[in-house]
Amino acid sequence: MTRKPLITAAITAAAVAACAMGAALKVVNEASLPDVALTAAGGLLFVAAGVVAIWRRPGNRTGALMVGVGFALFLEDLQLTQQPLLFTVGLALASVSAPMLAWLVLAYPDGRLGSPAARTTVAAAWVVTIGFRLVEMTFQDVSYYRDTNTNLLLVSANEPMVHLVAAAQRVAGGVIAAAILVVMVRRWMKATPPRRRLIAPVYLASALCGASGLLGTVAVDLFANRGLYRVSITVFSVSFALLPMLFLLGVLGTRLRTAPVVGMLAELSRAPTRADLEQLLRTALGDPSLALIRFPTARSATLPEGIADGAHDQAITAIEIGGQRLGLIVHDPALSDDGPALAAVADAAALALQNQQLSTDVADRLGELQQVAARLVDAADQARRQIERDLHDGAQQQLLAAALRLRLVEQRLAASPETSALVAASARDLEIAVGDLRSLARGVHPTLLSEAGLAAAVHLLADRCPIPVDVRVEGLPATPPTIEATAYFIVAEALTNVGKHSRASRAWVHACVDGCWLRLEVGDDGVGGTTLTPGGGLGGLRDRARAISGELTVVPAGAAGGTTVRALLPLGAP
Amino acid sequence: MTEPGSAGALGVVLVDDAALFRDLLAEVLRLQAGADVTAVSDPAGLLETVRTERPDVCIIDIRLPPTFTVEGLLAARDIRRQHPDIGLLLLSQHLEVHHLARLLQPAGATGGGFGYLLKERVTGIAGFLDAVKRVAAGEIVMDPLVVGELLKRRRNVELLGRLSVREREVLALVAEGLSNQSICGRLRLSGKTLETHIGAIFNRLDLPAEIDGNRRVLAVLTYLRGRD
Repeated sequence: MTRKPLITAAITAAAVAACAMGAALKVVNEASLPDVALTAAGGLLFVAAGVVAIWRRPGNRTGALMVGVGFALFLEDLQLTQQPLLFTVGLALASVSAPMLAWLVLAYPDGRLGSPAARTTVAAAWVVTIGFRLVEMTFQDVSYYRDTNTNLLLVSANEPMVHLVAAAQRVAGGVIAAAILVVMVRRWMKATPPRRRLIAPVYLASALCGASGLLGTVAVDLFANRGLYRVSITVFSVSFALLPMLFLLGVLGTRLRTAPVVGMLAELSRAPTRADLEQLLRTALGDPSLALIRFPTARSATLPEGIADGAHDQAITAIEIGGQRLGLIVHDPALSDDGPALAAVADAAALALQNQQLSTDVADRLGELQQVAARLVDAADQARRQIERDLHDGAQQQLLAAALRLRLVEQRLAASPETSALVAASARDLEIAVGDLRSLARGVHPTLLSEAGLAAAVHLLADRCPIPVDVRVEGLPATPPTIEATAYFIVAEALTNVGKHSRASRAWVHACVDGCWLRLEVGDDGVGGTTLTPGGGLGGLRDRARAISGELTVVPAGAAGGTTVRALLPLGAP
Repeated sequence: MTEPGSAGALGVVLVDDAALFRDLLAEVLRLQAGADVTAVSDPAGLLETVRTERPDVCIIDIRLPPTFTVEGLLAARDIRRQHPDIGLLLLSQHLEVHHLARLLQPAGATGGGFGYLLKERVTGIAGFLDAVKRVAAGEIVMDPLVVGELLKRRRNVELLGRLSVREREVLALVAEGLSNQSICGRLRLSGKTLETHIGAIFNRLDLPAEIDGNRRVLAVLTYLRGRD
C-alpha cells in the first residue's frame, strides 16, 4: 500500500520527462505547435488515465497497459533525436503505440487478453510492428533524409527491399486490424448487457479511430484527397484523445451504479419470495441472467452441480450472514470488478433471505403449534369419552353387580335381622355410588351429545335453564366431535351463567352454518357483566375455541343490556 | 302373565355385555321369578334368540356393542316391528329423557308391554321383578327418576304450575305406568278421590278424560315430553 504513491510519482515523473523530451524534439524539428500539443496531450492523457486506473483498480492490468500506450507514444518521438543510438531505437519503435493499443483494446476491460485468438493477434501485431521494422532497417539508409541521422542497423542500403518490407508490413497490418475487428465483434456478440454497457464506448471510439485512420490513409495514398484527409485526421485525433478517458471510465465504470442499488434496498422489504428477491437483484445489478439460489438449510450449503460446471461463464458470490451461508448469487463476471459494491448487495440479499427464512420458520412453527393445540383438545376429548365409557362399562357394572349380590344376601338373611340390615345398608351405599357415578360420567362427557347430536343436546340444556330459551339450532350438518363438544360446552357454560347471574327474562341459542364455519350465539336480556377471565369458564372455552382455530367473544352489556357470547368454530378439520 | 311359556314359566331373553351382571340377573330371574331365561351379550344374539325362543319379555341394556351408544334401543325397535306382542324392558345407565321420542313411537304401535328403567333398579329385586312381569303382561313401566326429570323441565314446570302438589304426585305415578289401584295404595287414597284428581288433572291439561290403561300413560308421557 505504501508503495503505491511512490510508484505513481515515479511513473508521473517519467511520463512528464518523456513528454517534455518528445515535445522538445518536435519543437527542435520545427513541428507545428498544435501538433506538438496534441501528441503530448494524447500521451499524457493515457499515462494519467492509466495512473488513476492503477490507483483505483490495482488488480486490473488495464491501467498498466494504458500507461504503456502513453510511454509508447512518447518513445515514438525518439526518432527525432540526432544521437545515433537513440535515433536507431526510435526508428525501431516508430510505431510501437500500435501493438500497445491493440493489446490494450483486446485486454479491456479485465486487463487480460483471455482468448487464444486475442493473444495470437496481439503477438502478431508486435512481430509485424517491431520485427518487420528491424528487417526493414537493415536495408534502410536514412542519411539522405537528414544527413545527421545514422541508422546503426543498416547493413546495406537497398531501396526496393525497404519498399517491399514496408508493403508486406502494411498488408500484415491490415490483416491484424481485421483480426482485431473480428475478436471485438465476437466479444460484442457474446457479451451480456452489463458487459456491453462497459465495452461499448471503448469499442466505438476504437472503431472510429480505426475507420478514420484507414480513411485518412486511403484518402492520401489512393485519391490524394487532402480535404478528406484533413477531416479524417481530425476525427482520428479527437477519438484518439477520447480513448484514454473512455478506457478509464470503463475501468472505473464497472463500479455498480448506485441508484438501482439504493432502489433495491428500498424494495427489499417488499420481496417476500426468492423469485421477488431475484428480480430485484437483476434490476439492481443490471444482469437479467442473474440467478439467486437459496439454500433451504445451512447444511445444504454446497455448490449445486450445474453451477459448478458452468462456473467459467458465470461468477458466483456467496450470500452469507454470521458465517452461515444462506445462498448464492450467480451473475455476470463483469459485476465482480466492483467487489465492495457487489458485497454490499450480497449483504442486503443476505438480510432479505434471512428475513424470509425467519418468516417461514415462524409461520411453520405457528402452524405446528396450532396443530398441536388442536390435537391436544382432540386427545383430551377422546380421553373424556373414554373415561365416561370406562365409568359406565367398568366401575358402574361392577358396583351394580355387587349391590345386586348384597340384595340377594340380604334376602337370605331373613333369620338374622341385624346382619340383614347391615347388608341392606351396604347395598344402598353402592346404589348411591352408582347414582354418583352416573352424574360424574355425565359431567365428564355428555352421552347425549354422542348419542343424539348437538341440536338435541342444546335443546336439553335449554330445557334445564330456569328462564325461557329460544333455541334455533336445526339443520346443522354433521360436525367433527371436537367441534360439537366445544359448541356444547360453550352453550352449557353460557346458559349456566344466564341462569346464575344474568337476572334475564329470556335468552336464546342460535347456531347456523356460515361457509365453512359454525356460528354460535348465546344471548340474554339480563344485566350483563359477563367477562372473559383467563382460566374462567368462558375464558377456558375461548382457549379451547382458539386451539381448534376458532374464536369466542363476549359482547358486553350495551345500552339495551344483556350479554351475548359469540363463537366461530371451523367445520372442517382444523 | 297373560302369555305363559310352554312350561308355564315366564320366557325372558336378557341382553347385556357385562357378563358378571348379566349372569347374576339371569340367576335372580330364574330363582325368584321362575323365569326361563336366555342370556346373550350383543344385539345380533338378541335378535336371533328372540326369533327362536319367542320370549314373553326382553330385558335390554341400551348400551351395547359395538359402539356402546343406543344399539339396545335399535334392537328393541326391530323386535317391536317383527314381534309386536313381545314385551320390551329397556335398562339405561343414563338419566337422559331424549330416548323417549324413539321409545314411545314403537311402544304406542300396539298393546305390547314396554318399560324404561335405570339399570340400578335391578337391585330393588322385588320391584324389578314386578316391573318385568308387568311389561310381560303388556303394561307400560317408566322409571320414577326419568319421569321426575320430565316434570323438572322448564316447560313442564310452567304448565304444571296449575296443578296442586297432590295432583302432581298423581300425574307422576300415572306417567310411571301405575294402575289406579297401585296409585291408591302408594298414596293412600280412595279410588273415588283418585278418580277426582285424575279428572281434574286431565281437564287442566286438556287431555281426553275417558282414556285409561296404556293409552293413558302414553298420553301423559307424550304431553310431558313436549317437542323433542
